[in-house]
Amino acid sequence: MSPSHSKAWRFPDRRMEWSGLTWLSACLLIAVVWASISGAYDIRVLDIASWILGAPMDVVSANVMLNIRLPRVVLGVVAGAALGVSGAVMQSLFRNPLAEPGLVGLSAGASLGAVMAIVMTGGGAFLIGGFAFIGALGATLLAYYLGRSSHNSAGLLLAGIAINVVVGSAMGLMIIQANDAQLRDLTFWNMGSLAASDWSLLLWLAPWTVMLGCLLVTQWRELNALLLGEREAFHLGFHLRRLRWRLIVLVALIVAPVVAVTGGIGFVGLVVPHLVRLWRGADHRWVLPSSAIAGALALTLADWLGRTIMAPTELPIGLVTSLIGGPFFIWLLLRGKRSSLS
Amino acid sequence: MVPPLSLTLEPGELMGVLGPNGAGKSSLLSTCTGELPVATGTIHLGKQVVNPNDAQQLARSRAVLPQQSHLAFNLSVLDIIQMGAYAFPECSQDQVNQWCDRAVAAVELHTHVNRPYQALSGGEQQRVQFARVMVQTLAIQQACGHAFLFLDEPTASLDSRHQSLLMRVVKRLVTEESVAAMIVLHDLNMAARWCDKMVLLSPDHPPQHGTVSEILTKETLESVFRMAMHVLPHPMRPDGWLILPNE
Repeated sequence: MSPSHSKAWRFPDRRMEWSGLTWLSACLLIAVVWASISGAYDIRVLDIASWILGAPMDVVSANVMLNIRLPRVVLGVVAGAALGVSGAVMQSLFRNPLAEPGLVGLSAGASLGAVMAIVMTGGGAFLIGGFAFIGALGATLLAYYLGRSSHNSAGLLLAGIAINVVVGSAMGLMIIQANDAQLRDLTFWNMGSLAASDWSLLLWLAPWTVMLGCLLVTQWRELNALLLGEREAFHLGFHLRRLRWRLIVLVALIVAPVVAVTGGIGFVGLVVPHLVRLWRGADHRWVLPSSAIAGALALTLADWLGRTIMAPTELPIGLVTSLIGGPFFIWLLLRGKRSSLS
Repeated sequence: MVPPLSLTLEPGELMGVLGPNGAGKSSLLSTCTGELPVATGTIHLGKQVVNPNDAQQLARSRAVLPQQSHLAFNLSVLDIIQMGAYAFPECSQDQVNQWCDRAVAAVELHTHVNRPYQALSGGEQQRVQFARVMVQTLAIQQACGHAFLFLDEPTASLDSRHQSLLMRVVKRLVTEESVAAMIVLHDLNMAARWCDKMVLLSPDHPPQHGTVSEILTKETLESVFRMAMHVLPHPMRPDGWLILPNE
């Protein structure tokens, strides 16, 4: 144990991870600006710049920018961050790279809760949010208890399939009773949309998401320890039942309002944490904030794509994320078969 | 199932837990570490009663090396070793780095430190887990002066050189840092070489415990393991024993 041995290696530079975060944040900023100015109705950058400096903008541009485009972009950032960070947490909690709010049934549970609130009580933001949270929590707990006894992905995914099927049937019943206008709304809501955004919504949703996101980020030690297994996490000082509850509740709290507002947007929570881990490793000190920022970036870009690719028709954002995320999911499964994942 | 047992383990002692398969060795260890509840009686680590619900307090009193570990996603070796200090968030990064330094040097991991854990062999991974547990032990020792270390067949996947290395590190922790350690072993000679006390568990007989010379007798071993054994004075070590199964 000579002293010279200890100098043969050095502690890794945390600056690599900080630079990664900075890069992601810069990309997000650029994406937000781009998505704000680009769309079915283009707003010129020069107009915005001169508006900031005091010159008046024409009424239509101002209206599109401030009341339609910007709230939508901000919702995309907030929703993407929520879905990204919750996907990362779920994958570590379930020790399974295929876990994410959509596949596990959390989003379906939230959707069912929200729709039931609308149908049974007539609405009201807090009622819808509350029902969505209960639905999300119930679905996640069910998936957890059904899926935890198996040593591979099968149990968890089967539980998620079961929940998605049950919710799909319940939604189906409601669709039968809907009139044409409601039917269209429900269909598009199911596919996910950021169109329902306005500033009064963002006034509570944004701080709520940021607060819960920060709470989740503080759990980085617990999540790192969980990667070693539940026994080891206990040996390292974490009370498992309380930890599981804490994580499940936090994830349900952060995802449920987003689903209630935007409908079903899948695959963000699956793909984003995976790419983040591939880039700079699985340490949650890095993975959690990066998944939030990368999720925001992904959803902002997906929404822009949905708005512009078939302009003036809008592709629902859930469709865009499924079109990209679906093949990625298949790739993950194939890769998993080759390694010893499942 | 663990039979009724009353044991004392002092700081500076290494206690081996031996017995045939199914005798309850791992269950005994799990009960002492707080994973399994105790049916009757209590377990104390120092002055603290073992409370399975207080995971943080337990992690600040004892460290556990399991038989096997599986990592869900790829962390680097150093990320895992640093986890040993998770129960001590108040400690400075410099202090944690010092402990990691010692642990890496002790198990000869300096060439593997920044490699991804899943790229290592089984034996190398076991050494990484041991380094993590050693960091936790050093942290406990610094925080409260008496650390408890529990190891479940730590040498199972190691080659001869690293088996010897690991046992030497454990023994040094026990003697130099006054750690109290309990180790489940299958290898009777390894137990004879390194342990100060022993517990011999058996599915058919009441448990026996005492010093190495009290337990390692031909009659005791033959009745517990149900095979003929020779217990000879060690040819190289004056106070040592050599146990040979009679095959």
